[in-house]
Amino acid sequence: MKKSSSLLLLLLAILSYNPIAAKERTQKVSINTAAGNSIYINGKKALPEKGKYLLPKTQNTHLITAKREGYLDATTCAVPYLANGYTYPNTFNIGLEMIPLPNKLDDAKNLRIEAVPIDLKNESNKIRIFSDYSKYLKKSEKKEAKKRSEFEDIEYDNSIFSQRLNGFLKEVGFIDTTDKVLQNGYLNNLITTVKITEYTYNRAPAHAYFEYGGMVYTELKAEWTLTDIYGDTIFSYETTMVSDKIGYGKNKSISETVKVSITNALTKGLIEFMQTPEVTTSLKDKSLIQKEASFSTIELGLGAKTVSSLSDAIKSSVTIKADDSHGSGFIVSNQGHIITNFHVIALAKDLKVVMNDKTEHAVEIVRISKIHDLALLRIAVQNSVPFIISNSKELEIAADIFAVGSPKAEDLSQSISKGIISGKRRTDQGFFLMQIDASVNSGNSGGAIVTKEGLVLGVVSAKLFGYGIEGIGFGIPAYEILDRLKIKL
Amino acid sequence: MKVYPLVQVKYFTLILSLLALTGCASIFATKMQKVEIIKENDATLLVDGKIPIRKKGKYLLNKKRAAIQLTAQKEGYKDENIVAGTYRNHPLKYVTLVTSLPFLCIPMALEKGPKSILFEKKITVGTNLVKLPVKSDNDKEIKMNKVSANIKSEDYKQRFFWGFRSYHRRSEKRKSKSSEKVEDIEVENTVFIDLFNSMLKRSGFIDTTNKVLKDSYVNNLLMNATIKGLTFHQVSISKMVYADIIIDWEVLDFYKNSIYTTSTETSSGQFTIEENTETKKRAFQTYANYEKRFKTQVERVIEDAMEYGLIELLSQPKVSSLLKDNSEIKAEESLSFINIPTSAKYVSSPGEAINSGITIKGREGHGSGFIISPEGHIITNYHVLSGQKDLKVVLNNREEYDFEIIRESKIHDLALIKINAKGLTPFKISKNKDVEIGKTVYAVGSPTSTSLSQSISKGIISGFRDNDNRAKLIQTDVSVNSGNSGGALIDKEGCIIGVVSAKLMGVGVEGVGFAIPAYEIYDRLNLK
Repeated sequence: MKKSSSLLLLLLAILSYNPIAAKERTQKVSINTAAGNSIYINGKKALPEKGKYLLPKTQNTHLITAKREGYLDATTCAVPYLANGYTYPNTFNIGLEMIPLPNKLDDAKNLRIEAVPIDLKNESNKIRIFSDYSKYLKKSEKKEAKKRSEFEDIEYDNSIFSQRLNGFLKEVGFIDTTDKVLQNGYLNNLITTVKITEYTYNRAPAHAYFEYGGMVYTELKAEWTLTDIYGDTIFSYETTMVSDKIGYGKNKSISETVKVSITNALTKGLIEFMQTPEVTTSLKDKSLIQKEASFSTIELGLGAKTVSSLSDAIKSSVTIKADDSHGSGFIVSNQGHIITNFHVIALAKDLKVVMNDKTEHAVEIVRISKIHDLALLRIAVQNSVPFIISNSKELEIAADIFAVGSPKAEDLSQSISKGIISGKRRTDQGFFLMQIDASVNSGNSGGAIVTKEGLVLGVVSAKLFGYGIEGIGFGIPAYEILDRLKIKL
Repeated sequence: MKVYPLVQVKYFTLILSLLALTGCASIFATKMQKVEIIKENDATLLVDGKIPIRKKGKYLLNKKRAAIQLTAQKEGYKDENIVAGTYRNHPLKYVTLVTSLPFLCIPMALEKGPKSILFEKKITVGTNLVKLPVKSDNDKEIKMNKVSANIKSEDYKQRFFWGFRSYHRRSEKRKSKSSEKVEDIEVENTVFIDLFNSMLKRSGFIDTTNKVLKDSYVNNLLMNATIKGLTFHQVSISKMVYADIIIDWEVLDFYKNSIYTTSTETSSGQFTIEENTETKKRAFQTYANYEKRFKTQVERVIEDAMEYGLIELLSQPKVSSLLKDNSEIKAEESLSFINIPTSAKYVSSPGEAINSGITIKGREGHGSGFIISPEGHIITNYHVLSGQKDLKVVLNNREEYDFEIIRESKIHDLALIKINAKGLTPFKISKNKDVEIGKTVYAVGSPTSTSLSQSISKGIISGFRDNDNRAKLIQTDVSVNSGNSGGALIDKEGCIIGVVSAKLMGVGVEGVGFAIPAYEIYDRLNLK
């Protein structure tokens, strides 16, 4: 009696470990995918044998990827589960509807991700954990996501995902990867910010207790904002995304897998965003060229007295206070007209001009050119002493020049620094810039570049920043002020 | 099978039903308790951050919350925080005691519900609110320089009470113990510097305008704080915490020389550890959650104690007199004249300037200077000499000299020193008060390293700054670096235009240097 029962137990034990005892090394699975896709298992191309694919039988998860030229890779993963003695499901559906990659046309603008801020309220940060993979297969539809009470509200200005999304945009050609500094301009660039507002983290491990690996996917809701290079919003859009299923295991930590899945979900959202009609038209939109070309001519009076020395130049330069920051500018007519950069006034709600004698004036914006980063303002001052704007198209390299402006802080208003013209540069937009080695700093933007006699040669517009970099500033040539803003003196 | 007698079953059910009961107080007492709170009339009282319900001059406190945060607020005063905890027995409890005697006191033992324990009848908060310091117009500005911690393990103490009852009974008697597990704590710079500076900003002691030329000897003081001792008092794991803190303070002048040291011992207000939420079933669902909350509350407690310390420091008569101290202005106004010997030959070009510029070398850095008499008079910045020992003057021919300080102006950051030498070629100092903007200038000095001594760089005068009646400064775009301080700013003829004294630093900032105008050398040091 005793003997037979123990024999019976032994037999049962052997039977329950049947798949292991049978020493099957691989499992045949069928993978359904769209025609034209090729299937990769763990990064290696796999070919079907009699319509079935062979999965190596280990306790690890396998990544199954469907690839097609011009489409986003679709990924799922095969998780071994206990219900049937560590086998994989028999059928996988992957890449039945592939997402086409965005296609950059030659004349389309570049697009880059400025930041991926995260703004998760406690109630929109959710989690759905299945005790093991078999539970996921049974209940994935029904199970409700739970709030994650261990987290408070999460707010970040930026996250690592901006780098990863920019990596994707580089791959599809929307970010220029050449090592140039003068490639960005209003006509060439658009900027996107994406804010993550809802997040659900899903995980199904292979085994409820042992660390055999498993599967992670995320659901996200994000707000996409398209802006021009001055930060002005063009279009906002909201997407809801579900990432592909990404496996983790021995060689891949969960946290990295979560990042991969969030990147995957964001990439899907980005593609959806880029395919909206608003974004596709904005990427092609060059209507501003015609609009700015058809400006009517403005005639400005110079009056009897004009700037003829550096000390005059100081008196006719102004500081432009825009909200909390500031820029520089200079007077070009006897009726209070002022030239500055458009980017100085771009997003400002509260604009004020501070003259050299410390008086503050309200500002009227007369004309702007976003393409050329120029603006013509006017203050209610009569008999102002204007600068004379040079209309010569010749830039004499190595000629002495002086930059007049308010570097860094308002109390340094109308500083003068000296240098030479270092070069004449053509931007990717096809316009010219003068490169100078006179010291300019962030508040100098919009200030005048003048000769010793006070003749305006250009408008300070940019500089190279960085550790160990000095003496590389840029100015818009003076003749562009007259040509582009259609000013007649 | 054994059959139980009927009587036994009766007793059994009776005891069971008694077990289900939880005593009179738990059943009949109210959820809320009326408490009299004594405070200043114009102070606002907040209970758990909200305005409490008031009835007949008393406040209704919810007994379910075992610890309640009471805050007294008043404009211009520091918030006072205390914690009210339930610990007194409800009178009905004694009724339970009597009635439960026949039942082996079981109901009394079960009388543990939140309703059966009471707050104190009278709670005092905010009767002695501490006034926040306010900067008056003639006070100097004051800013934290460094907040460090240097706590010996025996000065890091703790007191723990299991509940409010033992806290109220034994608070006076119980000694604080230093924890054996903790090692000496030494931190050079703590996160609390931002806390102090934001508090000083609120009180107006730090100027927040976007200006770069606002700091000076006359207007600014600095402070170092070192945390020397810390004692935590805690009631229960989750109910209340407060701290005593000992801080050593060091008041520094503009050049970071210590001018006054003192120490304060202050206690923080009391803070609850549990979160003040209404819908709280289990305050801390996980240990991590608890740990996080505990950490933030401990930080808050330390901050609160430190704020009291800062307020106490600023109210000390010695500190307020230092804040108003203008004796240096008078001292420097009444300096006697010093005659500088003239020379037959002066520097007459930037090329010659190199031989008459010098380096001042010390253990903790170096600066520059320039010769103004054949007998070895040298001008430099005061900040080059300040706080240094074993300084030596190094001439361009590598000869090293000891020197004596003849005169210094802390206000104008200038110093006159003398070495024992003869036959030197001095610079001529321009007395012209008209600074010509756009004029070409050269800076002579030892930028960044002494091995770069007597470097010369070229630029122009970018501007002349005399804002807000503070020291006048020449702005220049000539390249200057940290070792250039005290060096000469000259024109093409080798005549001194200014003394290089400062520059703006930062990523992307270039060509914004400052110099003290040359005529100030005569005027401020009273030279002839």
